[in-house]
Amino acid sequence: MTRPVLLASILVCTSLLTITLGLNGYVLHAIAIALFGVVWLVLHSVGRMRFAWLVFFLFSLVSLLLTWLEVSRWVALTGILTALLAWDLTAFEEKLHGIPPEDTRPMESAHFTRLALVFGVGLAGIVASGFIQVNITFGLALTLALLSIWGVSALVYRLRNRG
Amino acid sequence: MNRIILLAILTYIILLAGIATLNGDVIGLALPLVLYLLAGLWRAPDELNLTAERSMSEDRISPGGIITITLVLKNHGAALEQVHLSDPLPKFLEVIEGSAERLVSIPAGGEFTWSYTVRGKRGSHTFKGVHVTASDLLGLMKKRALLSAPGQVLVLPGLVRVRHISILPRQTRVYSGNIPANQGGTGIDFFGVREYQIGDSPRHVNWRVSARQSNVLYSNEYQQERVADVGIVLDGRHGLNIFGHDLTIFEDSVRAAVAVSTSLLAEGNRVGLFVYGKRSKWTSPGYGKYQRERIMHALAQAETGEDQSFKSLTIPRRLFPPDSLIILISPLAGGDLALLGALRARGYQLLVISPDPVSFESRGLPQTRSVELAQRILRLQRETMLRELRHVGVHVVNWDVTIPFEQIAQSTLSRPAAWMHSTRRGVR
Repeated sequence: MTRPVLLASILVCTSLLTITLGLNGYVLHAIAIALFGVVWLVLHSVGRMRFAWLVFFLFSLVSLLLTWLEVSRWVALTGILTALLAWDLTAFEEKLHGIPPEDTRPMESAHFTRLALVFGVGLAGIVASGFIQVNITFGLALTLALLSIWGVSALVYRLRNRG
Repeated sequence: MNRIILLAILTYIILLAGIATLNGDVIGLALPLVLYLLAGLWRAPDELNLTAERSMSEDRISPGGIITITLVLKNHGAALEQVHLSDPLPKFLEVIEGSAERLVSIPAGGEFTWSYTVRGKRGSHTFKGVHVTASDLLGLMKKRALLSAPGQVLVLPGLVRVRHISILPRQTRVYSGNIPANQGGTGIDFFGVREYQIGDSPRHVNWRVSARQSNVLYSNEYQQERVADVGIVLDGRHGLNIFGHDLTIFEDSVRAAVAVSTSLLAEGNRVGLFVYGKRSKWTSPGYGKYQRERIMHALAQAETGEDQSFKSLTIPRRLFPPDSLIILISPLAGGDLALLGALRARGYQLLVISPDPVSFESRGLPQTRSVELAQRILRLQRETMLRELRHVGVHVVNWDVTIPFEQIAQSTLSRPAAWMHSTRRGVR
């Protein structure tokens, strides 16, 4: 189950970003993204999974760019989610290598449940943010942003220390 | 790249871009990444508190035999939602059923039992422990441990049966056996005639000789049959035994050692073994089934070693007094002549069983003109060396390993060689 979902997520992510960029006049960028997608698929098929992080990073930046250029919020969101899914499943598939099938199936279902939870909550948060509109001062926005950066740093620090 | 760092960098970039552009939608993109990181922290594994226990269906098997390994892991700590277990297999063991790797979840206080079946080549195979990697389901947080679960499997060498190996050592022990001793007494073969002594059976009186003498009776004496001291030296020098593409003639040498030791012990002899290889070690001489087990154990563990010369080979006199028989199983190198000559000079009787490395190696090579030429040169060198050995009184069996050892033993070792008789005549 992991492999088809992984391949589908790479295809969806690549085609979505390529088409959106192409339709908005960024033809060269669209070709580059399509090439990266093909490279990701080829490297995956030959078992070179080490560079998945690089493509994930690039696709996330492209999604960010699409939001910034106000091309399409939902395409950008779908792009970052599918890129995250593909990157996560690449690592998961590597972990399943050499594991007997009787262990693979329960682990796959547990992994997909966890991913569904993360993506579901994330999507719900983003959808909710579209309905809630709060006007704040620049100072407060800056404080909140700095607080969020501090929060992420604390989270990463704890993760690194416990790992 | 570390997954947490990558996600953190991306999150920072998105947040900073959101602040710079004052765009809430951009900041919203960071939400799935932050949630992904939080999910990792939410069910991150605590300190690992696991113990492992290993049990095996057998601790020693014959070649081709299978052994089931069972591991029981107990979790004395918190629940672990994803644990990767790996039991590294010793070299030369292969899994034939089940898997030496598992990916499971273990509840708090629970245990996980797992079995797999292996088979392997000759050797002593040691298991050290189980590698455990516990992580959350998304694989962000990892804790690793090596659980001690020692175990050892002994794959014994294949048994080769040789009916009888005929030896005639100059010195025998006091116990009766199958080897004709250099003494008259009770036995089967005629040994000589001596004056009649009180207690001699009338059936042993030699009437023909007695008739020629006046008032004196003579009795027949028969050759006593005793047991002997035999030392087997197995040559495990790497350079002589291992050829290109990991071809090894050492396994043939081990098979010959098994056959010779089994046959000699079955006939009641006192047999010892010296393996000259990775761990050069004497198995002190002994008798019977127990000694056979000790020798099989030593042969199961025999490995080739780097030592290139026989310089450090000494035969302990307290174990094998001069006149004992030493059987050397070796492909032989030119430099060994001096050592074997020295052993002969010290009074040891030597029998060399030499697996032929020239024919063995040439089988794996393409039959080109240069290979044939090299083969001829090496064969000539070997023949010269074997001839020199025979000249110093060493009995040499040149064994082409394509022929089973039983056949070679039957044709060359089942009857005493002429040189043995001549040596014994000299002693008398």
